Amino acid sequence: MTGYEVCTAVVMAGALPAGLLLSAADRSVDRLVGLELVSAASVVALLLLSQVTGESYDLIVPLVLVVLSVAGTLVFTRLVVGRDEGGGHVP
Amino acid sequence: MSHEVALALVSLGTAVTVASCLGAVAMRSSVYDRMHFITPITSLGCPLVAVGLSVEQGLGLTTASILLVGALLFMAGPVLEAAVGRAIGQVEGRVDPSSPE
Repeated sequence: MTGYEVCTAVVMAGALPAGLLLSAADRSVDRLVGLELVSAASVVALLLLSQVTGESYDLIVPLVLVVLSVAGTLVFTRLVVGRDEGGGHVP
Repeated sequence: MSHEVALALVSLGTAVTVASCLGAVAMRSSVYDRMHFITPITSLGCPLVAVGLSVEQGLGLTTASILLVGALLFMAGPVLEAAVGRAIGQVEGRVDPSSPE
């Protein structure tokens, strides 16, 4: 097992589950922070995966993910405002 | 020699990324404290991994792609931090939800 494979496994086993756990929190603002964590950790994991597989065209995936995660997070910051703690609309 | 340098940079970036994610989950005092754990990933963890992989690959288009991904996340991190912080402030009533319209 190479060093890059170990790093990939550590990120996928340590960082991603932690971000996913936070993404399932009760409060909507915690879920928003979890979304950002998962996005950033996924980019790191995909960069490492492209090194492990040795295929340079795999790099298009983290590149697209960065662009989409920025737009997606900004959209969610707009949606989360005006909602109560349970996730429903404030009357 | 370059392989060892690259692996050291990637390992450091990996450690920063994992520690930040675990710290964010462990931090239960405030969502503002929790929010600060995103910055080390975008400003330190991902750029370290990108630079390490670039050192491993050498000059070329693959390195350019890797550095582009790292640079995009590095620049997007503070923007997203500010947007998320503002959204949290609006949810908690500290910032006027209708501003700046």
